[in-house]
Amino acid sequence: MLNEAFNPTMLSEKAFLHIKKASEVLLSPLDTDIATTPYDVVYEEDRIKLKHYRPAAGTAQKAKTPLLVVYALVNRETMLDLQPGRSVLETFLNHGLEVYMIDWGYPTRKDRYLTIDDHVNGYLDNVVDVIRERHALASLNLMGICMGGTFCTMYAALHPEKVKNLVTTVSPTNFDTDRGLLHHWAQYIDADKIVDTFGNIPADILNFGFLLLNPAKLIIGKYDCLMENMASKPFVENFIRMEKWIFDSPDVPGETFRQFMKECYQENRLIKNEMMLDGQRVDLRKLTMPLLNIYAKHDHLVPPSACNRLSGKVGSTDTEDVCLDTGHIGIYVSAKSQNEFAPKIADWLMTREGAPKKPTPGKKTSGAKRSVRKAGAAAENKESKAAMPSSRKTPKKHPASRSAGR
Amino acid sequence: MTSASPEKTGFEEIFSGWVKASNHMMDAVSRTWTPQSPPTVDDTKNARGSLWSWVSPFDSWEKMSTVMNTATNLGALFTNPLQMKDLPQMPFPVWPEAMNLSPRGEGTETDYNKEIIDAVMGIYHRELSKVLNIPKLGITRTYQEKLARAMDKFQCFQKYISEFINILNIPLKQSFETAQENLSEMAKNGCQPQDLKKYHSRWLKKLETKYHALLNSPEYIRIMGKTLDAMADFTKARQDVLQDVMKFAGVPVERDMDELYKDLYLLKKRLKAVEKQLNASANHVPVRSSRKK
Repeated sequence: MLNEAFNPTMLSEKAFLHIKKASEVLLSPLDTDIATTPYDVVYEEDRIKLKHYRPAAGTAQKAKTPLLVVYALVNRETMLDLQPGRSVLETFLNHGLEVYMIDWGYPTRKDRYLTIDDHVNGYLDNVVDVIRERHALASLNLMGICMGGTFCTMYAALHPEKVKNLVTTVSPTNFDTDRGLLHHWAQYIDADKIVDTFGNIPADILNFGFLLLNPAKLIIGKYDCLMENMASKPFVENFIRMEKWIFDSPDVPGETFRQFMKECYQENRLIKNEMMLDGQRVDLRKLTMPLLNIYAKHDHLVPPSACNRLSGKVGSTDTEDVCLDTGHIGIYVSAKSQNEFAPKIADWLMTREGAPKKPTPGKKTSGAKRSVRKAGAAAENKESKAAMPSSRKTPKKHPASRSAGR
Repeated sequence: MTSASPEKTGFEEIFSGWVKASNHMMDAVSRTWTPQSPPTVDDTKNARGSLWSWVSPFDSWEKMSTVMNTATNLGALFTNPLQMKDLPQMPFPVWPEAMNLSPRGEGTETDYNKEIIDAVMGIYHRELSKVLNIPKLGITRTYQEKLARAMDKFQCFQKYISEFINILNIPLKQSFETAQENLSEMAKNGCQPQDLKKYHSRWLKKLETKYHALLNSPEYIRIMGKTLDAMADFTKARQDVLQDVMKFAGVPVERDMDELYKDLYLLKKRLKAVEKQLNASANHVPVRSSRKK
């Protein structure tokens, strides 16, 4: 009975040709380079680099305020520049934004003692100062991805005078949720033991953990899809690019991991304004600049419930939540998102461009108060809500996020 | 190797010889493993742990290799497999039966594996662990203790990693069992799936659901936590032993490097704080230790 079901004679000539074509594709030269948008390294400190992306040819730079993109410490920022035509950075450049991005590099054993404070008040603050000096500006636009967005949120609350507009994308700020497996598992992980043993958290362990979030899809289904489409060269090239990125993982500095696990995942201090960095309280009410908070409906890593409380906690009145119908990675790399995600951010920033603020000579910029946009911001919010059906101002309950792959 | 046959090429002859040799080997193994007494009804029904479960796949392999090894099919195998004759008669080896995935008999495969793990660890804790924990004596007692601790932690790690792998295997086995049952049922009723791709997608979806349920369960989280702890304990114990060995060779160990890194980190932090203070004060020359281009 089983023999008849899997009778090899049912293999059509089509299947045989598929295998033949697939082998031709795999044996041919493949274009699998990622992060090809040209940039210059304008600043280095320890393992980190600040990349300045060259303006797109034939595109006038319309925005006077530069945008600094801060990626997470997990995986690499190259995901934002996966390939031409599917590059968030390229879209930003085409919309006339001036873009900088931090490359966190590959932590080694000597980086194991770096804390969140070292990353936020150290590296990130230094990078912001470098960009401000280069452009003679008091503040810049800040955009964070995932854990990078968490860092940006902390930074903006501690240094609001240096941040003109804040964009957070799939950034966890509320960790008290049982929607995502990571949040569930993190409650039972002994971070102290792991960090004391390993120093930095090995990338292989992190990669394995992420695969376990949805093993059926990420270990079996993904490669099934590859087998079916192996005869298509563009598909194979795209697939290999994603594979290159997804398994290109740096280790995470031990003390940062310890702090993130304990103080964020297990104690949820950030959203409760109890997070302390180098003796300073991270008070979200001091986050008074415009905030665009984007998250993904089917995000199995950072579910909507981990993101959608931020707008209600900040001091800014110009806030907007946007929930896209996609997953954690799809928000950046899917073809559909290319027309929704990056243009939305670019337009939102351009709307708030205004006159760039110059630093006042002789006056300290730290601690200076920013004016809060009220009436104008409300009108702008209405416009952008109309453009994006899933954007909203008032947080509401989301259905459980479906696994949509990484 | 068989004598050359006029219709076989050199490569085909090698392949043919390999198939025959494999057949002989499988036959010999099958005879060795097959119990001398005839199978009972329970043996044939309960494939789990039963040596009779291997008879069927061995027979299948023998039949398949015989069909493949004919001159016509050998030639077709290397040119166009679709032209191989007697393909409908080629039996599909019932490997799932051999791997004891059939849901026959009482109890589950999971329990069986867990019982083995628990039994082995029980023996270890009752017998070997006590030996490892005997107080060490003499000038090298510290090193002996570290070695014994590393061995003990290794056993614990083995236990939990086995449980972890076992529990991760559950949804896969369950989904295979269900798929096998469904296929058998469909075949009995004469309505086999026409579109295997759809069937496969359905199976994958069910597997995803099973994994989602498992990964959220308290049992999985308990085992995952224990495995991580055991891995950390074993890694630490192993590092202690290795570092002692490296010390004898005069090689700086991780502990030494970590102390150095810590000093370096604290020095850099102090330096940056001083830099910031200097830069913030009036009438200063900007100071920056990092490289700006």
